[in-house]
Amino acid sequence: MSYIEVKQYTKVIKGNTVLDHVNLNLEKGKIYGFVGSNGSGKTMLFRAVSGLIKPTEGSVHIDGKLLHKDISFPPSLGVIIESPGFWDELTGFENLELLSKVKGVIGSEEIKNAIERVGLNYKDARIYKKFSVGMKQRLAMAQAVMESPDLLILDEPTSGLDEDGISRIRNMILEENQRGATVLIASHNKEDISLLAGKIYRVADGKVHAEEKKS
Amino acid sequence: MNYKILVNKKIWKSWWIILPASLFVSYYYFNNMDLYNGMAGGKSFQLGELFLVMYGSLEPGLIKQVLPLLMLLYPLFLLVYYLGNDIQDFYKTNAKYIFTRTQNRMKWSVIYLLRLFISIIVFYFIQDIGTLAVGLVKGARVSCGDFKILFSVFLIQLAAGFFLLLILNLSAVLLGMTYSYILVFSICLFSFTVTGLISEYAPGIVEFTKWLPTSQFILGWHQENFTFAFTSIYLLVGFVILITAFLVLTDRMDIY
Repeated sequence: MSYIEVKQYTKVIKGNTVLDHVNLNLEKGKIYGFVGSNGSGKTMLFRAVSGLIKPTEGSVHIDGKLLHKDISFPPSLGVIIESPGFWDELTGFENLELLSKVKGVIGSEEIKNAIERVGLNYKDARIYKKFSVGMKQRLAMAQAVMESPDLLILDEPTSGLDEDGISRIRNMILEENQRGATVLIASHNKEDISLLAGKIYRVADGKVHAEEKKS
Repeated sequence: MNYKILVNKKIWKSWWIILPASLFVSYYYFNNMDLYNGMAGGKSFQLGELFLVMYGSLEPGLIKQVLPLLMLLYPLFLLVYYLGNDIQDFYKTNAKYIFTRTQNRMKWSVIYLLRLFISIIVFYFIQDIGTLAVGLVKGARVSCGDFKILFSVFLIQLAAGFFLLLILNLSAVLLGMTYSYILVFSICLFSFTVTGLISEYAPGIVEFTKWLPTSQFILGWHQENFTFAFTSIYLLVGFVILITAFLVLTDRMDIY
């Protein structure tokens, strides 16, 4: 049985078919890359697997459990989808602290560790509104990994980052995968995909096809 | 050059708002002109007169009659500016991090409704401090009865603000910000206009105006046939319907 099984998944929004009978079988503990042009459906696919949207047709099973019936979303999940979404009036640490209290599985130490791993300072008193684009993206990555999830869904995780940031994020993804996490990553950065992904899928016009990985 | 950029497409796409609004206002001015000139029904008039009355004339003396309405509405305009898309913002930005950690959407919808209500309290507290300051500086006498009135006014302000922002935030989630602003503005304008027209031209059915939403928020309009008990029940029913609709909608909707 696949860890993630997407079966004939179709999503129609205001008459537009954004995902068109998508079929995927993804195994646990691997890194999967998703490539495709803007508007191809990558982000929508990630929303589907995250449980943020409901299908018009089809289904998603996570570890044998049906989304929107057995479970609302994958039980151990870290996501970066589109632009980061934190609270402007809170600091980086306060934002992660608020999120950590939703599930209540980690404490301050794990939050501080995650923030430091992405190259930010947990003591930084600046509110999120004052963060640069790169800082916001780093915080998003910290948010995704802080609870050591089994599944990481990362949409353009290196977007807006400098060289150091890109390097850190790539290393973090590999570390998380070594820990046992399954990683789905979408990126326009070809190097991200070629360095990280074991298997690649191409998304175009809402359809998903496996692609040969060029060594 | 691509001439498509010369016209904002939103204008064309909004013809179904612009045209009915124009029809409504033009008809209003037509009736006004008829009465102003003392003309009975059936007597002809020049088309140019309608255009002049509607777009080319304004009695300076009438301006001050508009000011009371604008003064009453400006705090609501500010409130809408600050809080009109508060809940929609949450669902567009923060929600993806929350609802991949918990399925308890209702809890977070309630948190944000509470945030909305608390923000309205703070807004009107600051607003009323200003009014209080002017009163005290100008030497207004103060008694216990005044505080009772202040408190009643404060409660009505909160109710009005919350009612308006609930409609706005709920419709924003469904329709988007632009159309929700238009919807709320239209409701207010329609409600006040109908009240004014009935009071002037059909005073026999003035009791009907107590059913209009904006009437609930004018303390001075409450009397024998339009009691505070009626307003309380009206608003309570309204809040229950709006909050229930909001919670049901946000519980089921996709998060983008």
